[in-house]
Amino acid sequence: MTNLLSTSNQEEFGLNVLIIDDNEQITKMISSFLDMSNYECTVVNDGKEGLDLIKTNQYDSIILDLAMPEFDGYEILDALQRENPSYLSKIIVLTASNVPIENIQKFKELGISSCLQKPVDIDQLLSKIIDSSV
Amino acid sequence: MTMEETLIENLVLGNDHKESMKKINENLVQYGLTPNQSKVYLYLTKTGEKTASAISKNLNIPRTESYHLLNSLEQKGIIFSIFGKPTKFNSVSINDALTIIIDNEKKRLLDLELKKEKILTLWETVPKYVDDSENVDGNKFQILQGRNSILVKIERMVKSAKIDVMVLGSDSNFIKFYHTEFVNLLKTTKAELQVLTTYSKKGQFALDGIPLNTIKKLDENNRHNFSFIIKDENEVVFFINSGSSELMAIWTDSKSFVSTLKSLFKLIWRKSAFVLEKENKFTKNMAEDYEHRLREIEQEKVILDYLKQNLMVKKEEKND
Repeated sequence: MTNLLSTSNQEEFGLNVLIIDDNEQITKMISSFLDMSNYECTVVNDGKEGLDLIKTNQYDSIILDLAMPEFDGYEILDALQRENPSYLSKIIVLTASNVPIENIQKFKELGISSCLQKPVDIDQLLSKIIDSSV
Repeated sequence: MTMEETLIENLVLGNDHKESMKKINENLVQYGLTPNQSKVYLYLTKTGEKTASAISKNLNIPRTESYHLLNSLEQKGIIFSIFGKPTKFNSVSINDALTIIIDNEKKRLLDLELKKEKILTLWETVPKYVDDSENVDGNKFQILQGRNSILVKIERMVKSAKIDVMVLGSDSNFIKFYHTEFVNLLKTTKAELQVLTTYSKKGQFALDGIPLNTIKKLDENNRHNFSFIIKDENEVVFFINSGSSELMAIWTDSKSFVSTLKSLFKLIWRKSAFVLEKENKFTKNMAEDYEHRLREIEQEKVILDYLKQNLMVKKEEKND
């Protein structure tokens, strides 16, 4: 396991990460370990609010859940595809749902950074965050 | 409605079933019965054998008209007379009546099919007075009224399309063609299919079966009230919002009209996003909900373990 706290270059990262997930418990936990690693973290539990933040702020990486009430992750992807396609490469889809294979293919075509199914290993998630921020 | 009529209606139908009877009445009209024929048929079906005068009196229909109605229903084969003095009438069951009407329609269509060949053969024997070359494509317009005539035109267009079929419309328009051949036609076209639609949560069922990679979603700014279908470079059906419940459309092969709409379609297509298959946890069955929740809990556990381990490392570092 990578221990980010002991990583010598942690200061260099300092990435600005947005987490959009309706599961408050998960968002709190992810933001805790990202905070501990000196990442700047913004958390929203509502899809619409998340989309507004993406449009008005610059993020190095965006962790996005798909199944959310009211305004879900697919709607966010729809909107970004139309209005801000350049943000799609910053998106890491992190979902507990079964994602149909056609959608995974579509995500690739759209340039979405990665699609991970929960539970995901933290090292893997951290490495995907770094990948998406490049 | 007179008090007596209301009393009869309530006695016969009961207040609770009035609405259902009204709908059945409306549907029977679609089966080719006139409103009064339908009224008489349903009355006999509900009350059993009656004389013409009783029917006339209870349904408040003039005596002469009631004889005409009974005569026409008898000819259709859905009521019959019982010899006696006076003659009484009764109906066949509603199931039998519908079957009889459908069978009669089928026979009528078959007759029309057979007559078509005869008419065409006869037509060939009639000398022509118009030069076919004068009938140039590209300037014809046609008003289409009613779902069936629009569907027949769309079918001809889609089946003969060689390059592409472009469809733009809201879900509410597609829902009007639900239970028809419409979706199947689009699915089986050999031309390239492109569908631009609102694809709302409530209305997307109307497009079930059409490949998602051929559907793009109209965004808020492009939700106009118009709908059209373009075939290749040469035909278009444009729906008209007539304000009535009946569907209306214009068909044309006008090159300039088709070309203008095609440019508009391409512009909106470029700006629109493809539809993704949604995984809605709220509509999934319980087992999938459980699986979903389980993965969330496992994720929480993974993060907690990670945090715990890192805090221990931090503590050890402090102690050192």
